[in-house]
Amino acid sequence: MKNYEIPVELIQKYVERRWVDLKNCRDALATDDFLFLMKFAHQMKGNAGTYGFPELGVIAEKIEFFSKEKNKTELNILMDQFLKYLEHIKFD
Amino acid sequence: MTRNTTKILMIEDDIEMAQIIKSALEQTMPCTVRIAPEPFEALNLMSDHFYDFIILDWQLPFLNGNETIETADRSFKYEPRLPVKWDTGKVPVIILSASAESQCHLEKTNHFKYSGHISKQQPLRNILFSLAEIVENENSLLRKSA
Repeated sequence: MKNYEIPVELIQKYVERRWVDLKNCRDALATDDFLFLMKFAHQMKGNAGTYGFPELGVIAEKIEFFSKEKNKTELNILMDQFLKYLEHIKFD
Repeated sequence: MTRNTTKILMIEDDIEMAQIIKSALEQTMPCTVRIAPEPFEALNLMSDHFYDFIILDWQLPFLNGNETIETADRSFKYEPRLPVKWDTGKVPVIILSASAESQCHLEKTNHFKYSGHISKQQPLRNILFSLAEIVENENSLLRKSA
């Protein structure tokens, strides 16, 4: 089997879309839309590692868990972690 | 199943993820991958075309993975246009999901068989390696039985 690396442009687009997701998540949290958060988090839990961001997958796993619990305090903390994580991603 | 090009149907609602896996598989293995973003599109595609493998997400819109496969299996009985190849053996289903393996139980059906679970929560190269391994194992079983 040949090697395959994800083109960097696709990784950049992936990160750009996560910025949009972060805003959507904050909006969902403000309106108690836990179902949205749960679905979003499950998806990011699945794709973050594939794109080389396993730590983001861990944050997503926690968002999924606390969305089921409807725990706004923890979810707000996780939104901040999500933001910090995105801020630290740099492309050369 | 053709030896040269394996036809794969990937039932996956995360289009971003589906595209990257399709692209990677098609560049690294002799295969073509068709994406169905939701179960009912998958059912339509399976009614019109035969696939050598199914890559199945578990949490899908409308139905979960097992319900999707069971619905396809049932509907095949009443589908007059169904490609005859569906009746020649059981097609391997590979579950590719962020849900744990213990949460993904595929019931036995007439046209499909469970062939493995791969976690999405890992780097792409590991996912590709696992997929290639399962495809190779199934192809070699098929060659032995031919």
